[in-house]
Amino acid sequence: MTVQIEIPGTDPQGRVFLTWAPVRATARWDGASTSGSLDIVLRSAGTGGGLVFNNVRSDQNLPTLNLTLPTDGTKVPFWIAGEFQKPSAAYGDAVVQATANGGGGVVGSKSVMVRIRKNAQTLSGPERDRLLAAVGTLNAQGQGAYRDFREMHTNATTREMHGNVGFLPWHRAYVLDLERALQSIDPSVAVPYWRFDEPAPSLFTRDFIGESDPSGEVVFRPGHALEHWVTDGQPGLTRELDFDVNSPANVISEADTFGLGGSGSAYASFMAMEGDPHGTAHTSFGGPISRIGTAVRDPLFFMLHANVDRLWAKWQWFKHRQNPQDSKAFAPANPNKIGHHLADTMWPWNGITGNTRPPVAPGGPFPPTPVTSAPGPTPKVEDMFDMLGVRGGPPLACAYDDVPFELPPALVAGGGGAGPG
Amino acid sequence: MLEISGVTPLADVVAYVDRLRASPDAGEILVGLLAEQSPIYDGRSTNEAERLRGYVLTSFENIGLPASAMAFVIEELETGLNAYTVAAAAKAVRGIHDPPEHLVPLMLEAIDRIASSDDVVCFEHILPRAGGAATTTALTELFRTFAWLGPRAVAALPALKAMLERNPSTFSPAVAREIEKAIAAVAIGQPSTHHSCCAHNAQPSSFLTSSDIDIGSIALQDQDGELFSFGEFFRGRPSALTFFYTRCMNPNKCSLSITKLGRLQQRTREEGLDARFNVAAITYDPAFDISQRLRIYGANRGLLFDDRTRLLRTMGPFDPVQRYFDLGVNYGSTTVNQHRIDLILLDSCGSPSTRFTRAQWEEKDVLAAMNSLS
Amino acid sequence: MDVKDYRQAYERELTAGSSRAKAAAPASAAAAAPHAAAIDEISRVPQERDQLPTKIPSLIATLRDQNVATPIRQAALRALRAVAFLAELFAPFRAEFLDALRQIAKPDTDQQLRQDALEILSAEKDPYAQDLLKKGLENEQDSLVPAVKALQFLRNDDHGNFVDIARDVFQKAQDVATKVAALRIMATDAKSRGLLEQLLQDKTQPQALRTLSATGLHFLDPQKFAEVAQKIILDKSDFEDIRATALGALANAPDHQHLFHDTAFIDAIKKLGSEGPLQNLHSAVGRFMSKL
Repeated sequence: MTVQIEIPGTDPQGRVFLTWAPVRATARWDGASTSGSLDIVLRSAGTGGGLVFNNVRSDQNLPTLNLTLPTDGTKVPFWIAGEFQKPSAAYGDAVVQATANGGGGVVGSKSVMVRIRKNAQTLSGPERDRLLAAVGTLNAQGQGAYRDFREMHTNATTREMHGNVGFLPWHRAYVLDLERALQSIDPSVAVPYWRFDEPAPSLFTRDFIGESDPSGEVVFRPGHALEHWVTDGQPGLTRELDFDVNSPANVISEADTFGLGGSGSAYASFMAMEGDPHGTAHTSFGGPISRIGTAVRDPLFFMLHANVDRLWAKWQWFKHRQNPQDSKAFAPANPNKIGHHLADTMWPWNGITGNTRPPVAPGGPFPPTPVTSAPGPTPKVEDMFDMLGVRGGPPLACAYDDVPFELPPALVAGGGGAGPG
Repeated sequence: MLEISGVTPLADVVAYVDRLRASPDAGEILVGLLAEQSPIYDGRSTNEAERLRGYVLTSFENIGLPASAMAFVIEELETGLNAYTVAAAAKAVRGIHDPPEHLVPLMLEAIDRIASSDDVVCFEHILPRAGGAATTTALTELFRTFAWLGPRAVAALPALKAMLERNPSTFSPAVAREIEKAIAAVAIGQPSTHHSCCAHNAQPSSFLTSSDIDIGSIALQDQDGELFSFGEFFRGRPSALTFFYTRCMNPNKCSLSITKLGRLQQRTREEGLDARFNVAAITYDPAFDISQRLRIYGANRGLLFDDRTRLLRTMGPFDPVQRYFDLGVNYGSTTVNQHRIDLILLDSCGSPSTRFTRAQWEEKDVLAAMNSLS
Repeated sequence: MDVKDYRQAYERELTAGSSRAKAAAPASAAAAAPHAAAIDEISRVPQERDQLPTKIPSLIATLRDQNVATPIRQAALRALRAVAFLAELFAPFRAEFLDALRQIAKPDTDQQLRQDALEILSAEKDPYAQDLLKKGLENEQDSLVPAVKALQFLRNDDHGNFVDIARDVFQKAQDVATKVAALRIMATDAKSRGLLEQLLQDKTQPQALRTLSATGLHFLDPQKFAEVAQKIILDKSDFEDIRATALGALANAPDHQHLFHDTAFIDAIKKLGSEGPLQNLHSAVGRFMSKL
């Protein structure tokens, strides 16, 4: 190959993970250095994930892009993103391919993954099994880092993350923290969401998150990665469904969630979703997931909260409310609510203990990823608002399959942006 | 005197405590019943043990709190999570003749900690009942104690007012009325110019060990499975040794102790002292806390294991270690039912010289005491 | 899809989207029908964040009131459980809520309501609920919930001294579900190692008990489990599912790195992977080999 495609955020193994957020990449001639130039066309050539391109940072990207590469090796920038609603199913099923213009052959290509959080109900068997294997490894029968996640979310720590305006930002960070932990085991994994206002019969099976037997014990297929699940020093789980498995849970619909507080609703009204559908999704079951202090014992927790986070992300996109300084995008916290103000760092990643914070801070700083610099080791509440970096800052390197990248109305396409840091 | 043990029915223990309350010189006997090692707790569940302790603690409201019981009250206010025992500690404060100033911030901390786990409690019966007229709550008792302290708690006035002004309120209307009463009682005082000479955090003290036990020969295993004797590890350099178990339910105790042990290790490193000291902890629950569990528990709390920094378990029963160091711990049928905080400094011969007990210890105090050892 | 087109399509979807009526639990749907309006009103409370300080006491009063129809009290409890997720907003009413639950945890309360009350209380390690559950296990006439539920609820407290009563139930119970629930409590006690080892190796035991014994033995004594598991995995006369379960446990935990250097064992596992038709075992082989 004589054209090298370089995409920032490449991990030490040379792998690239994209979302819907455009990333500023480069192409360069890597053949013998001569004067002149080569015209190439970039296109998506994978079997699964789709890619789109542009010369500028835009939300109107193109299936192909013509570039002229100087043959002296000078890098030529372009923007690349996952094609909305064409996520990958496995690493390498998305390919950016360069062909010489005018019917020439392939002169360069790079395999990537469009890594997107999907509806758990629609995951393929291999996607599901990779996810479960990573979750099982993280739990390691009670000996793995899942214990840190368990200890972050208890009755003793609840004021850091519930009953106040920081509920959604804190849980966005929490799900992302877990996702990065899973990706350190298998980078092709993203946390799927349980869309609780729709039936999800494929999720509550012995092959996936477990089937509840008549007594409420969760049972798995023999050899399943979660079969030996241990939390709080106790093997196994109970989970009793208070709804028919072929029906939605006892929650309000997505449309009604968006309608909380009326059509012009601001965050202060939207926050009511903490009670319904969030609280009601938890209490659509018996068992640990139905109580704050024990909910994380059930790994379903993270799929439930991925959906809560998806609803917020979708609401933010739909109403253009990714700017935390926008009075409708957030609501001020009471002065005494440390950890809920925009500029407050969030526990436990900030390591602050004692006084009004919990006595210990499990898990350490927020884990880094090669893909982006956000949100940094000690994220603040305000760092969790712009998942896809639509306002130009670094994205969080996660995305939902139904929440697109769309620039704010005030920004003109090509209006800059840092891309991944 | 009635022989009380862990198998004595709760009702009989309660009757015994009630008789003691009526006796004029019963204070110290009741204090003796608060010690975790007391046989009245042997084999009981944590719930039973905590209720018994709470029941004994409330005695001091009426008979007066002996000085020797103060540490137990401080411990509950500082680390207690159970509404029953925290309420009992709040009531016991009202038996203090001259309450020290440092109780005020401890009571404010207790309010903050118990606000999200308050519950109805009743001290007329040892066993909980549904409903009933003589019920109260931990928050109610804490604010009533502030009202009892009156002007002596004037330092708490801004915090109490802030609690009342929170919107939305984090207190029920009934508790809010108690706050109003507390503020009214406290506000008639003037800011105190007297400062207590005593800190509430654990201070070093000396102690005797049980001489019939050969501690040096006790077999230990560390977080990596390595086997050695107590003497082999602890002799040769001074050590900071604390105790914990991984199933501890109170994050203010074991989890915090091991986290602080990690910070202590970090400070010895920063000050270039790490080669001079061992930093270690032994689990109360050796049958359950196998090496793998110790390793993960320590690593998750910032301990950096090396040949001087280890988490340990006894290969046999823990009992000889408990008796040798007179540790405040007792057991139910499966695991620990209650324990206090214990940190012990050993000299380079492995002999105990100083202990920090019951109240939270500060890293700087322990480090200072360690430096004085070497 | 173009993002502008997607936005327009979603706008149409939202406009068309209608409120999904909150369903009562399926089993009680018929009983709830006459009270639909009251239940619907109660079910909206979790969305009414600003009104919770007045609504929560009202819900608790409804829950306590024996004269209120059971479906309405159940709806009140569902709403209270949901708003409990609002933590500090709910905290002022927590003591009163727990008190109400203790009050309804009695024989003349609807079966589901008292079971829900006992579940919530026992999750709080409530001694009152634990006492009732224990008495029910000791004497069937006193039982407020089925034995399997009582055991599940008691297992929330591993400091509760319930191993002895679980052992007693385990020995006497006839149904596997109750035995499993009892064994789960016993599996947290280091003294149960021997029993778990024995059950795991006993081919006559129900699969559920052997599976749980695998988890429990691994939890209490990973080395002993690895010894036993290797024998089971390679024993062609044993059931495929328990062999898959044992191999799955070895694949999942960090304690068994030495096995990945045991060439004889690895060769045997590879061979298993080529034998058929053993679907679950093959899947476990795949997961184990992926850790190499």
